[in-house]
Amino acid sequence: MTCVETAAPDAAPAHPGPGVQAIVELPDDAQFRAAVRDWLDRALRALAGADFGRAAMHEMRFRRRWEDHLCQAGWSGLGWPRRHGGKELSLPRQAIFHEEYARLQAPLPVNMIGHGIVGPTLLLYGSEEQKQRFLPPLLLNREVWCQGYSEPGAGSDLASLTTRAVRADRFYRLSGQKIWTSFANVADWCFVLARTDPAQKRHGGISVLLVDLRSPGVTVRPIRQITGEADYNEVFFDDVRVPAENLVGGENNGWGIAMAAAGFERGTYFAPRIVRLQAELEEFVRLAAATPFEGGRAVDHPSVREHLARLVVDVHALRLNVQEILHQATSGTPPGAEGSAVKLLWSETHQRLLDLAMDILGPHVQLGPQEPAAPREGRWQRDYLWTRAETILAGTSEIMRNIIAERALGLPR
Amino acid sequence: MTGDFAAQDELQLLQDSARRVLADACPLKELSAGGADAVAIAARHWQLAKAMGWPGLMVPESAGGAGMGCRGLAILAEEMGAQFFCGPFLATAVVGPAIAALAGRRGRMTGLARAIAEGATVLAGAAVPAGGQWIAAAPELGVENDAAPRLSGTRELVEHPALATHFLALEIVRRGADRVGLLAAPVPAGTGVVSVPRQAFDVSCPIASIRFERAAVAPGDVLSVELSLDALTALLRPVHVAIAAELVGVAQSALDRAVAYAKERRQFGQPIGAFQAIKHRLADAFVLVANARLAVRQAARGDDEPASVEAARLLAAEAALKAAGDYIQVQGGMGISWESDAHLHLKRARRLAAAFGTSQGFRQALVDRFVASVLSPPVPPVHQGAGSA
Repeated sequence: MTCVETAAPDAAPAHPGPGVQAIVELPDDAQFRAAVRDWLDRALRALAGADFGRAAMHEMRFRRRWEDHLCQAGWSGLGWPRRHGGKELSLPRQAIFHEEYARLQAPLPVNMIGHGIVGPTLLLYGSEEQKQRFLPPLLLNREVWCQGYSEPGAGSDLASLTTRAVRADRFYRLSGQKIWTSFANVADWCFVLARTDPAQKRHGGISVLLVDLRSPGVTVRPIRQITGEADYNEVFFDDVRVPAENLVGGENNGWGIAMAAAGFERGTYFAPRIVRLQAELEEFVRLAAATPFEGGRAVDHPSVREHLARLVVDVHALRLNVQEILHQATSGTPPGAEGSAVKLLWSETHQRLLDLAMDILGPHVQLGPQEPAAPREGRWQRDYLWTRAETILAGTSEIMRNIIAERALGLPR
Repeated sequence: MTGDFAAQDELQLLQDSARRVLADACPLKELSAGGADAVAIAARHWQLAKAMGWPGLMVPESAGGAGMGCRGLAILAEEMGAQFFCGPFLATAVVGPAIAALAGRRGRMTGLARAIAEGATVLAGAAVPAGGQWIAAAPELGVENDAAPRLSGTRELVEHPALATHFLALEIVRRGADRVGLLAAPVPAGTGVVSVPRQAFDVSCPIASIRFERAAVAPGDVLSVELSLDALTALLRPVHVAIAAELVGVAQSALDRAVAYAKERRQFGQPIGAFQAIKHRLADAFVLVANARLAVRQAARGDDEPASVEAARLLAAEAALKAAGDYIQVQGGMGISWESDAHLHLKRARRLAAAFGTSQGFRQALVDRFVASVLSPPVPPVHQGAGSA
């Protein structure tokens, strides 16, 4: 057992079998995949106990405990350089890890902004002091991050943001409002886009600031979503003093940094999502086989089968797209519009899958998304509602189609 | 690895040369101008195909062909679709060699593959029975006297009859739940073969109904076997790959032309391509075409995925029909004129989408297999994810 693993503080059950470092060093991809699968499966079963596979496993309290356990055991900084505490895994190996994670239907991470956006951004654009200060706690998941991008007046048109940061001596004075900020209610830090030069138009004059959410003048107000959960927040900055050394990558360079940050996960972002989609599609078939429907089983109904065929084909196409994107990212091909195409197809396919699930549930759709007596403890209802968000967040379907039309087809803006 | 690079080079070479010569020969202008003779165009294209060695693309090197395999076939067929190649390529260069390989293992049709590669034999596929069902319930073709065989019966929708030296009579008959009977024979054109021309929906592909009246077949050229449905699917994989790839080519051509038109055409003081209603329509077509191409390449590689052939056929047909429909819609009134080449895309897409199986059939096969794999998994799943190539 490696020393990183013994650093786990929350008395997680001891983990038999090879440690993280030993798995990382396995020479063969197939061995690596099998070892990752085994490690994750044992660890999750041990930590979840009787809750394994149940709705409670996907609640915030357990999600955070699980993420802490993973990071403190060494499953963090997978693609980061070794000298910054990373594992320096190749893109295909990172994808394998995320695929196995998804196959297990392990709880979704909470600190994805920290690990996926903030860490890689600081590695590329951060000062030495920023790397020293922020990367070690991130690797151990001791600080949770959120991303202050959208504003009430700047949604799809992000560049129209108006949150102001005014330089005053060794500080910036930050004022404005962010909205749809995931996990700000549990986060310690926020990766904020703010306007530092109002004289410059739109994309110019924007900077990235790292803001301590415990600073005076910060108010976080959770927004209850249609699922009944509250992971989104409004974040108010009322003359918050942000130390000047928390500026990332130079003043007025924020837009370029934000765009680069959006591409960091290009190679590995969708792989786990497609694996999860495939697992849900199989789950749906089992539901449909167990659900009486119009005088037979739902799975045998011609209309259900017609829709199912469409979903099987689309998931097949998504899997091929993910392989292609990973292949391109690994060989260093500059990103095209494929990411937008996959986001579009993934979110709309996922939505159609949950539409179909609700169709066959019949009167059981009346059971609420947190009702333990509902099929899968309400997960169908919950995911049905959540998939409405997926065609909106991280670029709406409309914006994705605009990007494809303008960048891939060259149609006029 | 070097072998793979060499293969890549060979495929790239095939694509470059095909693109070049097919672009020069593209008949769209001629066809949309009206009055073009499709038979003459096909004859011209077939000369070109012979000069390029394409009839022998799928014939093994041992029989004088290029032994290219499905990956090369997908590349060439996509270019053919994009440039509206006319001519009996599918029957001669794809169906013919597949049947010849099956027959050869039983000591039949021993000279067919070589004759195709040499360009001496040109086949017109005669596979559709009067009922239109490509897998029929009962036989309609009859063969008498195996020593000096004579074939009788009818076949519909025979493509490119004028160029054929032989009609490849083909009959698939369902036998029980998962087996079929297959009868095949290359019948020499001439005495005993009556060809009645029909108006073709796809004007770039002349068709006829064929009546075999005790037509003589060379001894040893009749193949009659029973196959499992899985074996039939495997036999026809190159055929499906070729059809799907050609559909992708048609789809890409329609999309490219629709995009070019949307950039050019101005209304309300701006190019119509600036309107989101147009952008979003074409963005959806782009996604479908890209997916179809990925699915066809995967089906051509023929690895792990059992769903790949059906998915490729489904996505390719959908992409071509959608892109061709969009091309018409984007052009407004021009789109419904003969003078626009949009209808040529739509018509070819419709013809190909119904060749050797329907989307409904592929959909059913796909979903049957998927449901069975989930509810009664035969073997532990083999995960073929990223990085484990």
